[in-house]
Amino acid sequence: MSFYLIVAIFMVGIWGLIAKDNLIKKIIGLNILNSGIVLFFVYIGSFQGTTAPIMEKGIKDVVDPIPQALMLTAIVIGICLTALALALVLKLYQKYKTLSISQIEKMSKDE
Amino acid sequence: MNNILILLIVLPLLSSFLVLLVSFISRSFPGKIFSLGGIALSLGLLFLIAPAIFSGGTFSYSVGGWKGPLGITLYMDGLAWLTSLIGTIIALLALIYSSGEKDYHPRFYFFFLLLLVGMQGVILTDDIFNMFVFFEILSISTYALVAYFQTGRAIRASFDYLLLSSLGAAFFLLGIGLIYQAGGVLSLEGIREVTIHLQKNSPSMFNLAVVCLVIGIGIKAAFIPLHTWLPNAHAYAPTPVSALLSAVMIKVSFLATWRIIDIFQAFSLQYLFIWLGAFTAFLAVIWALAQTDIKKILAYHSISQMGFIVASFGVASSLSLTASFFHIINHSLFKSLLFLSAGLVIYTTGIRDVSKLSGLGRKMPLGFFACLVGSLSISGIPPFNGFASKNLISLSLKNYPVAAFLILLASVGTVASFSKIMRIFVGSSAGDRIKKVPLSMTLPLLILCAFCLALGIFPSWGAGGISRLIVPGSFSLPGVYTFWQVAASILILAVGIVFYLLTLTSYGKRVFGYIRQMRLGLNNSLLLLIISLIFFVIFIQLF
Amino acid sequence: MERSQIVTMVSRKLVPFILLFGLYLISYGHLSPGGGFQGGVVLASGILLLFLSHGFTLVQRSFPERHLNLTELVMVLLFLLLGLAGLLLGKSFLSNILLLGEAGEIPSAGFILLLNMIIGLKVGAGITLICFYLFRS
Repeated sequence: MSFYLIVAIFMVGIWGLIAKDNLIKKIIGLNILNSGIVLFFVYIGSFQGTTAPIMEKGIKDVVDPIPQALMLTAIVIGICLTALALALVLKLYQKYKTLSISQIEKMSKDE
Repeated sequence: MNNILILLIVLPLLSSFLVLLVSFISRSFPGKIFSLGGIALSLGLLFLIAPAIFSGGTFSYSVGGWKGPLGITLYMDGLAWLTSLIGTIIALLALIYSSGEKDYHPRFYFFFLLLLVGMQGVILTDDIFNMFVFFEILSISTYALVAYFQTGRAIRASFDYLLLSSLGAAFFLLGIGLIYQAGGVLSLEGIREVTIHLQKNSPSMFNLAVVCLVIGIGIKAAFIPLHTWLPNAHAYAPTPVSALLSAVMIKVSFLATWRIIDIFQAFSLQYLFIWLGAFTAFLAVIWALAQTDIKKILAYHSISQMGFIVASFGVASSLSLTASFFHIINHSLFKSLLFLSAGLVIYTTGIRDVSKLSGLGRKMPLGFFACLVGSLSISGIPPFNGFASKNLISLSLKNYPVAAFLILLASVGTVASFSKIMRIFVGSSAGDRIKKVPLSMTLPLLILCAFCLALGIFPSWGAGGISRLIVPGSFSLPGVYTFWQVAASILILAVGIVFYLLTLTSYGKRVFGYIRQMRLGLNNSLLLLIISLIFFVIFIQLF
Repeated sequence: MERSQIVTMVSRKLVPFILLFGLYLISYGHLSPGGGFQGGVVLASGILLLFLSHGFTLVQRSFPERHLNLTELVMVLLFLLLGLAGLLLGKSFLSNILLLGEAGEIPSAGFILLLNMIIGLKVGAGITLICFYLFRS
């Protein structure tokens, strides 16, 4: 069940990235896409009945910590990308006074 | 000795932050000295391990002393060494060029060095997730560098590139997840061991993972369904960055694809690359012919030359792999030469449109010479390096006549569109005087010219060295300078010039004006990425 | 728009605790969920709350932009130098150079705590700066 939910989130992200005209919404789509992947990685490592990977006495079944460690890095990269993309969108808005990609493309057609 | 691997990554990183820190503390101190020092030191380190590499040695290094399969390991063999060397040399030359061109902000040098960090990391890493991280470092620094001038076009190019390449990176990450779920390993060597097992047990999942990985990096290697971001990004970036992007970035991405395909043994995908490459080479040349912006012409030719490389890689014989890698190196050399000399033209005249320029040859003889060497190289005219590698490529495509024919047409188109560029140097000149060019801008051009000529005159030296480094076992390279091959290249030159004259007629102008208007918007490029992913999946499932 | 009394008051009282929680996350990163990045983000969110509720000038006074910039740069260099220290001592890059200590204690796990602190400060400064630049223009 949760696997299909993750696929759905992934698809929503792709749809947002491709179909939305607003630049900010595109970036939100990208973030949803990344969240889908993060969820997928967390889903890979975890099974029912397992606990957090903190090694204390009496704890046996832990989830696989590697995907979670990887995802930490991926989230950091996602933040960098989002920040950079937002900065670019800000500059685009200052230049073209609109956030719609179709209008920006129309305006810069003859450049 | 093994410590050199990590130093290759850490030195540029250290110097990049030093540049920022120093410029932050005192405005007047020239921080770019650190960037020069960092790159020169890495180059020295690479030369230090050259003897060991050429005697067949490999290096590996585990970061933090944590051994594989969980720890991150770095690994260097001949292929990695050569790529790293060529990237570092061109980065050094581009940096020298940039110091003469204009007074760049320290941020520029910071991102420039960060690009180098990403490049070295992608080449050296032996862990697929680490590869993703270094790819992101590489891409984030290129997004920032492409948008450096902050004109509307540059920012739009950077934004398009960011969205496309991030979508690719998301698929790459998905591929890593699928592989980890199925195989439980992340190191490339570990994956090589479980590949056969996976191919038998869960073929469809495995295929999906491979396609996700290949598309994820392929978007940066820019073969044809994934090329849409490249022309704008390369054309509107600062000139040294364009040179570095063409010479290093797409090459490194392609070599990562090479490694992925090699490790996952995706041979049907490799076969597909012959056709992808041939069509890339052919179609990109048509678009290049339609452009008038000098840097855009060069950018489309980068795609086209990638087609040559990809097609030759697809054949997968020892000759074709050698030819492909030889062309990678040659293309790095002559394309950075061309970009830098185009930058020289823009620097002295301030005009990018080739149809508005003429008679520059007398005013800037050095730029003329450099551009001539680059154009002859890329068109495959003896005795320059492009001739050698293009011949090896056409020899290796012997069994695929259709692909070889497309490649031949691409060569003709290349000659035609470089005739268009060379035309700006001849004819009558407008009377105004032009800006004087500093030595630091011309020196890199001369060095690159020397490389182009040397590799062209002694092709067996270059190609032989490459085949020794990347192909196991020995095989005899066919000779390049036979009578028929030289005659064929002269014929291509003649046909190309005739074709160029045809494009100047009013009919030709109308056709190419129409082609120039055919561009994909951002949404359609993103859609094209998804469609090509689906196409790749279907292809690999069927064959 | 008029500033709400409740928002200014509550945020002023809340910010020290948020910063404290960030420091807690950083210093317990090697024992429990948390660590440099998470703690750093919490630190940044504290500063940003102050920024949003009290405006730019007040935040500038207590967290000047120049200092944040400098913190970020110096921390990266410190991280790299710590990594290179392992190399100089004959081990490999980023290998442990301190005593390991006893698992479960605060000063344990070698230099992970030190690295966490460095990363925490760097991330806190970095995220704050990103938001400063984006909000201001």
